[in-house]
Amino acid sequence: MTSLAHVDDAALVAAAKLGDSGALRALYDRHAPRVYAVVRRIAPDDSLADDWAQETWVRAFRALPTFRGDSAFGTWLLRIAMNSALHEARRIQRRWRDEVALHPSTAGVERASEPVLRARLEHALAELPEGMRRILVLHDVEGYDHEEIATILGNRASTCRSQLFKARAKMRELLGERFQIQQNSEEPCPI
Amino acid sequence: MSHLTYESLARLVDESPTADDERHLAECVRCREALDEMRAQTAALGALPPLAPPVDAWEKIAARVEADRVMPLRRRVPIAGAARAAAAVILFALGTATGSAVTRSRSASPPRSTEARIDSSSTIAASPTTPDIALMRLRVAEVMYTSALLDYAAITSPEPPKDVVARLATLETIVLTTRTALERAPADPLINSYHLAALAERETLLGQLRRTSEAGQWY
Repeated sequence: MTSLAHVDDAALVAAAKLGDSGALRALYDRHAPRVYAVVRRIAPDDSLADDWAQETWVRAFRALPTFRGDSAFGTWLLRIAMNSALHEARRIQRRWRDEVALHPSTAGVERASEPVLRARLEHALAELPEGMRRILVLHDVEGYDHEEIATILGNRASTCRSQLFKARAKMRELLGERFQIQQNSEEPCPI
Repeated sequence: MSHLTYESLARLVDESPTADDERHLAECVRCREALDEMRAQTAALGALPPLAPPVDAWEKIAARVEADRVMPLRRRVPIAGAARAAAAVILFALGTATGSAVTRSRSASPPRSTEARIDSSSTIAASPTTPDIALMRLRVAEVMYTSALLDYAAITSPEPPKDVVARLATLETIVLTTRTALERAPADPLINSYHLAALAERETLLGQLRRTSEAGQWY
């Protein structure tokens, strides 16, 4: 529905609440890439990411009458995405723990055609603990600020900030091992 | 003194260094390099390519929305021939009634009952037999809803704020006008824009009125 591409979210949401299918589609077209990108970086594979993203949209449309515009629609939507994705991720991890230990190196996105650095970044992201990964994806990958992330995750902005620093540090360790960065060397600091 | 920790370096990507940090970085080549690497890592994460959803994702979602009856969907369908003419006449009449309802003085003329208005539109009360008639009924119902809401406000309010009521009436007029126009040009971006903006404003205003009512104030 390209004719609605310039209409703002508030107007689209109002029309969508009335069941306007064109407005629903326009909201989807506008926000689907970001929702999918976040969900994909939490999901273990493409197939589950598709399912979780779909679940996010169905939940969002079902909850649309309750959306009051207190936050941006995109922020509200990502909160739903994050909650449903994490719920599913935990369910799967519990199941896999009983069957076969989840091997982090098999998770994440890796395509042979991608540059090495990009693939390693995605790999390291997938190895991060869940809480760190979502913060890092939202802040450093998707560019949300701490206030927005606090709304999405239901945390305080100060908590998100300190978690981000921990996540970056953990990411650095993961990448550092791979790239043999000498940060952890035993050589004493000159001062 | 030891090197800066990874967490400290992570903080320095976004935030200004403390005096201690500055002093350390000025002397320690390794920590300066480590900070550069941390910045490069952050920049690289921000430069990761977007991950696009599958091309058929929307079709699957729309199918689920329909199948699970997540919400009633309404498509803009052209109202043809006589049905369109009938809809225009009824909407015009109800729109006029709405305008009268919101501008009249309570003391001069008590609000007309909602039942009376429903009776007056009994010509469309029969079960719809075509999508056009069903759509027309839906639109008439929207107008009646707004009108009844305003009647309620007029009855329950000792002193309704005239600017709010006038604004609501204006928005209703815009919604009706643009909706009629969209039947002729459903893909027109300008008309869509006006229509959706008026819908959003009307929704917001009605929400405010409801909240005010819940708080024991006007309406």
